Amino acid sequence: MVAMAEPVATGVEAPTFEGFFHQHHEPLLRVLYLATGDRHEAEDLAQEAFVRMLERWDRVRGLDDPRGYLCRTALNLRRSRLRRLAVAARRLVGRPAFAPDPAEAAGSRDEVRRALAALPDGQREALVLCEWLEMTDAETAAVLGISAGAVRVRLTRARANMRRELRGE
Amino acid sequence: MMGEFREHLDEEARRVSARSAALEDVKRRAGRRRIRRQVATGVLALVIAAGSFLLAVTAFRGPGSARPAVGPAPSVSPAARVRLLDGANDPEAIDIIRELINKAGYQVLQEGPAGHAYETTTIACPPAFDDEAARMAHQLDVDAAIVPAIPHPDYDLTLYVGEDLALFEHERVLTWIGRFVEARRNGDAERFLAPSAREDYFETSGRTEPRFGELYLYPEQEIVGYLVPNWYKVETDTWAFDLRLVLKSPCPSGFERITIAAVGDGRYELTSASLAGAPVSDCPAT
Repeated sequence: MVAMAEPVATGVEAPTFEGFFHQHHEPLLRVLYLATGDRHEAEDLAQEAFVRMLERWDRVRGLDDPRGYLCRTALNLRRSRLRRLAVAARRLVGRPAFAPDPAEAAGSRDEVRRALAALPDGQREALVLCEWLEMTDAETAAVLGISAGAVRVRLTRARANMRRELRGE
Repeated sequence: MMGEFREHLDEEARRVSARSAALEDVKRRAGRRRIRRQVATGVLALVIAAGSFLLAVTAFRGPGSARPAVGPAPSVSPAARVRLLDGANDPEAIDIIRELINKAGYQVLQEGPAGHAYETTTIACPPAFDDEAARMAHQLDVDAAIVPAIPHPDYDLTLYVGEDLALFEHERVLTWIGRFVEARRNGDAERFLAPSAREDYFETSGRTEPRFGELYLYPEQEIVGYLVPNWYKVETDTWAFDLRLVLKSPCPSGFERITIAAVGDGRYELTSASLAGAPVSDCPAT
């Protein structure tokens, strides 16, 4: 089972942060790993996202979709870091930010990593959230801050690119 | 097909797994942040208290001693001299804040690290500069605390940049611009335009192509990056930006001026655009 568990049903007892953490930590870690290609960055981003959740837990626990809030926080943190690095260094931001660990990429299963790395950030995020985390278009749109139509466009392009990379179509 | 690459992704994702001590790590990190904030708040309170005490002592010195210095009166240009202390440790935000301050008619004379991360932006100044401090807070669109400080010969106001100023609105706006540029690169930027901006944008192009994403750019003029060298606050929720689009060599890069407005729920729309410098359409089509 890889998908993040659905939000706890309301009307029962209020979820604890510890319970929320155990439910969503590993799936978030893997989402971030797929999105960044770097396990250390994924761990750091996941930890920071949960720290922010913990600091706002009184408010966050009452949200309809705390899982979406968690994903949004983590992906926004990643974008912020990329942007700060880019602006501070006055470097261009058009290049792919996905940077697979060379040692890991040398393994036998690196086709998927290469294919993911070839995707633009937006397409990769849409693909991971929809396909791997099994979010709906609307949930993904809320996390990425775009419309559901834009999610479908990204998804279509991401799948076409993945097919081309993986199967040589 | 839904889930077409699910197995591939699943296989890749299983390369990482959570460590058993992850929850403790999160709690420790949250604790460290809390302590840092408490210490920072305490230190700031001490600094302010010490400043107030010195001000009181200076004001009540005997008649034989020198008169206490009176804070310089606000002048037309610059409105005040500013010491900018970075408590947020965010170079990008500090660059933007410095620029905003300068554009508002202030002069940043000193700049450096504050030594602590402040949660709330604070402006310390002698009473004569309270109005300027309030104006600066308004210009920066932040609910800053304005605290008394003794007059200083080198500067009038000290701005302690807090996390509220450094990482909130500016960050969201820059995120929006990044998305806009990326969407434009993919020919999908029309959804970022306010209805009122669509015609304007078409009109300024001088081109006949029907779709937004193709207005300025032929295929060989691919956008490879962007910079935001200037931005101006037009109204409370509206900002203008000089957006420098960096095009694939050998096309010359060029500036546009775009204006965006907040439309609620953290969303923005591009409300107008015009060429602000060398047009990006200078690259001849092949």
